[in-house]
Amino acid sequence: MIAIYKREMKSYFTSLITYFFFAVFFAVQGLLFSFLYENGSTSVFAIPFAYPMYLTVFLIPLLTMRTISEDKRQKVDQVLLTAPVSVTSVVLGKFFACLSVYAIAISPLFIYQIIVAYFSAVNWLLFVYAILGTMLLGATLVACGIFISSLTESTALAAVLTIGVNIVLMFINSIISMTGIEWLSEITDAVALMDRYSAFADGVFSIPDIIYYLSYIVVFIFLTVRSVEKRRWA
Amino acid sequence: MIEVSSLSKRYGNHLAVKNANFSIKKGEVVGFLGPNGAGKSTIMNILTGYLSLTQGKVEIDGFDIMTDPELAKKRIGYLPEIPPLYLDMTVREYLYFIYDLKKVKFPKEPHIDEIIRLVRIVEVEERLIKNLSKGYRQRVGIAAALVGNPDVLILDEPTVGLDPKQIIEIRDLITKLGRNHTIILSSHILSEVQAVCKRVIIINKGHIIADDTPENLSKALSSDHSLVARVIGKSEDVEAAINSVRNVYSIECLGEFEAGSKDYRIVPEGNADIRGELIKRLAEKNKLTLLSLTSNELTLEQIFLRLTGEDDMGVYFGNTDTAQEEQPEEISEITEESEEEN
Repeated sequence: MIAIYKREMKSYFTSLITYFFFAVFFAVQGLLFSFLYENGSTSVFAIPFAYPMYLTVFLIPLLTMRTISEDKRQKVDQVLLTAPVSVTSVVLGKFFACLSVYAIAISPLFIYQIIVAYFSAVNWLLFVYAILGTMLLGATLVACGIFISSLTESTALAAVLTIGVNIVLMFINSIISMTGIEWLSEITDAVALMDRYSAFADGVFSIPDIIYYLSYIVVFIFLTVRSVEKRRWA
Repeated sequence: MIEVSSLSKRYGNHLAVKNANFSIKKGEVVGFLGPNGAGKSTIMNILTGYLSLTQGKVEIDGFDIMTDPELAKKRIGYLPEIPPLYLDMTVREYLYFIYDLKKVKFPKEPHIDEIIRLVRIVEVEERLIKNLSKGYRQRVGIAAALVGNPDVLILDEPTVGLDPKQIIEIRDLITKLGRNHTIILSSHILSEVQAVCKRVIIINKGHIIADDTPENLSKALSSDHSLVARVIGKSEDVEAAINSVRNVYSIECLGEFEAGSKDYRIVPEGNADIRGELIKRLAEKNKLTLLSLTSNELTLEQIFLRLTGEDDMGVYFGNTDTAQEEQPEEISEITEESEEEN
């Protein structure tokens, strides 16, 4: 797993897409922060968390699209699957590498928080909790992206599909609630990822929310392992 | 070292490997031979745990590839048909990655250095794999298979796409490795198999149709033991000299192929080896010069065509029982499939 993690990280940092990913993330966070700071908004704390999440829908697929599809296309999966390692550790290595890149992308939030702390008191516990929520939501989208990448050999298709699925997973409830069908929106409320995230950003501590995201992650990783193994049986 | 019993692999309706049985002892160098699509790569992919099997059992050094995959895979170095390389890494980085991936216990740098020297990629070790030629990529693939010094090496068409000089180098390397590794290599270049392997397994349409040394295969299939001699000298003298050899059944003059000499086809009685005496007799008469003596025994090319060609299959199958068992089964397989289609 560590070998794969190291290789993936190296690969991310030699790829232009990763730097594009960072650039967009840093720019949006910086703009939001300075804009809110200038206007003396009271929600300095929550909003820099909330808005970049809309971006992740489009940005995380850029990171995940190549994870497994590219290996398959280049036939490198042969070296991974004939090595004395389990498929799960291969998938986890890729998952954690991708998650690390995402963690770096949200790291400026710490800098902004330090700046805020210079002027006023900051509840660091709430901040760390919000970071946890951001990581969990990101990890869910990463796991979902890796799963979709394992379904196809085309990176472009993987990216487009992931964006589509991400939009559905994040905002399905907002779309369905417009139709006014009660039972359907009850289901979609449970599925949608964004609602739970707002609770993290607002600093409402809840264990079910954490478990909610973790279960999404576990399911997607499990599905990825199955989908990689399935090809051995085909 | 490698035990394969009643191995079958089915892709949907297509039966890629049908009831394959073979066992390979430690230190053997075995060649898989077969036309494209015969199932060579499929068998190799199953042996290395990349593909699952539909039926049967594969054991590597006593470890079942399906139930103890990690222990079995540890003993194998695999070079697939297309070397699986990360193009965005340098050669050394890639080999380090493979080293970590295989959890090798040897000291890292000396081990990789040794492999790099062995497969002669010293001059490209710091270059990106993306920028390497096919020949070098192939060698990096072989290097990756060697990492961890596994007992078994499985090489799928190791010389494909290389230039003649590289082919000879890789063959030499395989011969060298064969001294302390068990090697399976596949090829459709027959001279290659003949050059490096002491045992050949011929595969066609998913069946193993022959499994023997190249020499035995040649003998078993060859009904023609005649020799062709090219001799300088008067026809009468030559024929008289040849007739004085024991066990000569008939002589036929084939005509002049090289200025001043004539070719003669000599058919011995039965399987008698008359070469030694023939040369002696011709040498005794000082006006006769033997320029060449060739036997008509089958080359591996001819064996291969004979075994894989439909017409002559019976010649060989006539005296092997496995083939007699398998052929009717294949027919029922086809009817079964066509029924499914209907």
